[in-house]
Amino acid sequence: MRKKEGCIKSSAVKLLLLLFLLPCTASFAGEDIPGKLSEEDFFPGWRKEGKTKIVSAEELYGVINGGAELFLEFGFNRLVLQRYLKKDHELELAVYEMKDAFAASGIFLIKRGRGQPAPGIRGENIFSRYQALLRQGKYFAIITNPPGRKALEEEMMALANLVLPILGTPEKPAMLDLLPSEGMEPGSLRLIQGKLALETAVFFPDGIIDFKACEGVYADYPFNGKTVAVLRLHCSTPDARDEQCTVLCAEATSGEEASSPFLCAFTLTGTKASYYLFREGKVVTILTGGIEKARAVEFYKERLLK
Amino acid sequence: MKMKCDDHNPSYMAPCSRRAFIQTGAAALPVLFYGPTLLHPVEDAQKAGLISTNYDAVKDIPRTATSMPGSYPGVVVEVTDKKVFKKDVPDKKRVRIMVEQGMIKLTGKRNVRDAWKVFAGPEDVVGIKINPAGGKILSNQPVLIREIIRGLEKAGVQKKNIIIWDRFEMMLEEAGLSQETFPGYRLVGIQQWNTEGTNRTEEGKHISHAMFDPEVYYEADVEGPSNEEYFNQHMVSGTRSYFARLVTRDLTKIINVPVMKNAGNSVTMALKNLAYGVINNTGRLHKDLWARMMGEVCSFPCVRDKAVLNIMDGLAACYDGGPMGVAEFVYRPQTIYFASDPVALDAVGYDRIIAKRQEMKVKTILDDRYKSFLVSSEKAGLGVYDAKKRRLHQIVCS
Repeated sequence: MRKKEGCIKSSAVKLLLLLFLLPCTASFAGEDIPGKLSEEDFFPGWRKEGKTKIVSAEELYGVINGGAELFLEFGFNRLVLQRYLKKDHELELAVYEMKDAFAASGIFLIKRGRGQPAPGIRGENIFSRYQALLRQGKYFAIITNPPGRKALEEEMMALANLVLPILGTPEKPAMLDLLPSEGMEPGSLRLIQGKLALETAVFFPDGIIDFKACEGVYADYPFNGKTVAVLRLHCSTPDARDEQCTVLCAEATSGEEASSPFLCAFTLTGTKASYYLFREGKVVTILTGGIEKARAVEFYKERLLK
Repeated sequence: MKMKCDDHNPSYMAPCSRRAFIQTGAAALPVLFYGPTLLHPVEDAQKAGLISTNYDAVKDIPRTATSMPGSYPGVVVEVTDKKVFKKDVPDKKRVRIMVEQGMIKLTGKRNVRDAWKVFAGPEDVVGIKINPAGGKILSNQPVLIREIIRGLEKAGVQKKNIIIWDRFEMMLEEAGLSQETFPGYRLVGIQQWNTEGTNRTEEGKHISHAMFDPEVYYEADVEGPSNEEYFNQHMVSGTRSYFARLVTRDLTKIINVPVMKNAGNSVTMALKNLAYGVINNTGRLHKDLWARMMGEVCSFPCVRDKAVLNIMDGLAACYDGGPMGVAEFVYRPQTIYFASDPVALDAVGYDRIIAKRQEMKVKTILDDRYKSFLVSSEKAGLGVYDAKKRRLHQIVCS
């Protein structure tokens, strides 16, 4: 028992030293991820198992099968894979380099569910004894502890803290500022670049929203006994925004009001739900959730109007 | 070990309302969409319908005694043991009992040997099609594969004629399947993929070229990229996906062992495990054709007539994040499913996953598009989707 305690203390000291060494790794940020991961002593105490693998967009299906579609929708560059072994313990690291921070955040928000972060990880994360999900800049990373050994939790966190700085600096996608965090239903926040991401949040028929010209942010808000679903689209040009509004208001049940962001109310055939469209600058907002127009306008003015 | 398994055998409950709706953890949102009428109707189904394939060339090939949906159309057996896991690993003895119970119930035979003999015998070369795509977080439990092997050997299948296989060799390794864990059995990845160095032979063909049958292919008028990266993984570009020789020439029977997983608002189970596992050049088939191609590929006689049994691994499953293994969404139904009918099996699995998603308050869109692969597979004669014609037998072991 004494020997074991001594070993634990020694390991804790080593971990602390390791964490203090983190600033030294900042110079390896971004592009050199494979190079950094290939270094033998990148993760002290553990040895690399096999070579660092780099997987391209066309090859992603072979690694995660149909799961690749979501990554490709957001914009995916490459996947870097590295496995580490220590005696009979194993940790797997997968770093998904996405097109930009919006894309990486989009993936992270979908994959995180209602998981909770580990305070010991210095960056955006969700943590369980099986996996740590990380997001930094344009990178989404997963550290997997396959059998879920509780004894490896500290080492998972240590690896996460080593990896995060080499992924570059934290960057928050600007689209997230379009929705207030106050009052947001936990786990409902989404960034949306296409129909697959949209389908994790709310259903719209194909082709109605032009994701080539617009990107979206979504969340749910409890409001006066209902849950208001909020989808905000930021379109790249005024023409794209206007075209989007034209499409959505094509079968409007009520129309524009002067001096108001409210543009129209519409329904989708086959449902009883009403949707309310607002336009303010480059942003198009769609509200729904079993509410009447007056409530939608009230919600918009109270929570979203700048 | 004393274990009691109660055969519940209730009438199968039809799935809940077909109206499309989204449920959240708070109040349920109203129905948003149902059916094909849209503001601008550009549906997956319509897009997929415009793509021509060579399905017509195979759909009328005469069926055999073993053709899907097999000996027990519409029947699914669900065996659950809430104590099967011991310290994160399924207990071998409990899994054995689950498998025995499932096989006997499915076949109606009096003993396990006779149950397995319905599906394979001494003259057969049997491929066990696994599903390692979830990595170590969510791939087949090795203990279940061992029980399947045991059953096959009881039926007289020779050890040298039992092949554990999947599409990618590297996935077998990553899922922990090796000669060390399965000594003496053939483990086959029908496709190699070098992530370093070339994947081409001196003649310029893919290194796994010989593993695929040039005479049997699924043709679909949609192409993937024609760059080297796509070639590395998919072997060919163009409009043809070739079937593995293992499937067309070597195997006489296939035991399909999918893992119970969602794929967005749909599921990836028996039909997907077969359809995407037996051909190459599949990257192009995900986007617009995924629902239709499952039924069409499985209609080729080399699959339709040989895939005689489906044993779905629901010991661990995922209700979201699939088909990747994302730990946040992995749960343990502690259940194994048995069916000769892959359509019925997937229909039951779909209902189970949807119920779990709703229980966990995951946004779930119920829409026909997510079950269209079941409808089209039933239409292709591969099995029973209609809930009124299905029978679910439930066995609970304690």
